[in-house]
Amino acid sequence: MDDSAKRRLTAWLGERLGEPVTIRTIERLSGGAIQENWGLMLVHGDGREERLVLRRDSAATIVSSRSRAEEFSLLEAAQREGIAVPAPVALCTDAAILGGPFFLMRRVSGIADPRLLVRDDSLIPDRPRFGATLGAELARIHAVRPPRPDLSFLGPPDPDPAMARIQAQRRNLDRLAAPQPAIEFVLRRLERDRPRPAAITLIHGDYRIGNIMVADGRIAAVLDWEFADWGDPDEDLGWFTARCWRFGREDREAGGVAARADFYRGYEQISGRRVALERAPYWEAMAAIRWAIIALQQGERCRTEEKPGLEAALSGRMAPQLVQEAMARIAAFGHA
Amino acid sequence: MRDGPEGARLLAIARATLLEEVLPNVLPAQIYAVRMIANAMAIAARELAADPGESVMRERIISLYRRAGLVAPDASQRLGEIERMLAADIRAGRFDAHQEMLTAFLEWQVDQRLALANPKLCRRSSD
Repeated sequence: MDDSAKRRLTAWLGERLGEPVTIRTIERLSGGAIQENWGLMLVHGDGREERLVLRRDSAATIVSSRSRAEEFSLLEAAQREGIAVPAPVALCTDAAILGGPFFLMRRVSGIADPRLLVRDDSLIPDRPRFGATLGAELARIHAVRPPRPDLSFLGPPDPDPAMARIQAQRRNLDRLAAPQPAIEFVLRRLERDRPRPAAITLIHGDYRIGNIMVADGRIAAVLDWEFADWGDPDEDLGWFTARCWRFGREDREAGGVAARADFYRGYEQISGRRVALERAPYWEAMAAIRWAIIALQQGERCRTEEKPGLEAALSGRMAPQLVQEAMARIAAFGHA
Repeated sequence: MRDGPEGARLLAIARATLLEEVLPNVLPAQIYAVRMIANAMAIAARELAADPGESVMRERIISLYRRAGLVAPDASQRLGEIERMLAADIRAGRFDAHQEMLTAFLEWQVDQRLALANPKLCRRSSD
C-alpha cells in the first residue's frame, strides 16, 4: 500500500471514527487467495493503540463469494448473536479511498494454522472440550434463521440447497478445460440421493480448522464469512468432519483436532437437534468434491498465471485423492 | 537426441540432492516449501516416466459403453473428446442403470491418476 493510499485511508478512518487517528504500521498478512488482509496498528486521538485487520478483494478474485459489504453485515449479525467473530469496525464502499470496497475489523490474537493445531497438544490441552465448543459455536451460527432483514442480501433461501450446490459445482466443472467423469459420477449420485434439509439456516460455508482462530485452547473467533449463505446446516457439519480437512490426523474425525463424538455433543447441546449420523457421508462426499473442484481450478489457473505459486501448482494433483475419498463416502449410502 | 540422463532421472537426482543435502540445512520456516518442491519433482518425474496409456483408456471407455448397451463414442476421436462425452452421459443419467460397472471403471481411472500424483493411496487394483 503506497503512501498516498495510506494517507487517504487515515483521513477516511479519522472522519468515520470522529477523532484524529494515525496508522503506525500497516503490513500485508499471509494467506487469503481471494481476499487481501492487511494488519494495521491504529493510534486513536487519546493515544490508545488498537490492532485492526483491513480486508479487501485481492486482484485475482475468481471464486464467486460475498462482497466485502455483505461480509461486513454478516460479521455484524454474527456479533449480535453472540458468535465469536472479529468485531466489525468500519465499512468503506467508496472506491476513491483504496480502489475498491474494504472493511476493518478488530484483530484477534491467536493461532489459526491447521498444521500446528492438529499437532501441538499444548495449544489445545483439552481436546474433548475444544471439540464440543467447535460444535456449539457452529450451532449458534445455525440458530440464525430466515427471514432476517439485516441479511436480506442473501436472497430468499433455496428450498433444495443440495441441488443448488450440485448445480453450482456443475457450472464450475463446465469452465474447466479437462472433463471429469469421476466427479460427474459423484455429483449424479449426490443428485439422486439428496436429502431433504432438516432445516434451512444460516451456514458459514467454510467452517473448518484454518478458519478458526484459537487462543488459550479456546475459540477466539470464527473467520472468513465470504461463503456464508442460507442452506442445509448438515453441510457445515460435513465440511468440518470431511477427511480432506483433517490435515493428516485422520483418526481425529472433527477437523483433525477432536473426536467426531465431542463435536456432535457440543452441537446437539446448543442446537437441541440430534445430528443425523446417516447424513454425514453425503455431505462429506460433497465436501471432497467441492474441494476437488477448487483444487482443479487452482491447478488450471497456474497454466496462465505469470508467477504461479508452487502450492497452487500442486493443488490440481490433489484432485484424484479427493475424488477417491468422495467415491468411498458415497459407497456408504443410497443406491448400490 | 538429448544427452543423458533423461528428464525423469535428472529430476530424481536433483530431488535426492534437495532432500539429503539441502533440507537438513534450511530454516524451520522453509521446511514445508522444500518438502513441497520435492513432492512436485517426484510427481513430474513419475509423469515423465509413465506410459502414455491413452489407447488403453480409450478402449476401456468404449468397452464400458458397449457393455452398458449404449451407443459407443467414435474410437477415432481424441481421448479428451471421449471423456467429455462420458462425463456428459453420466450427468444426464444415462449410466444410472449401470452403476456397478461404471464405479469399477472410474475407480480404475482414479487409480491411474493417483499412481502419478500420490502412489501411496493407490488401491493396487487387479490391473
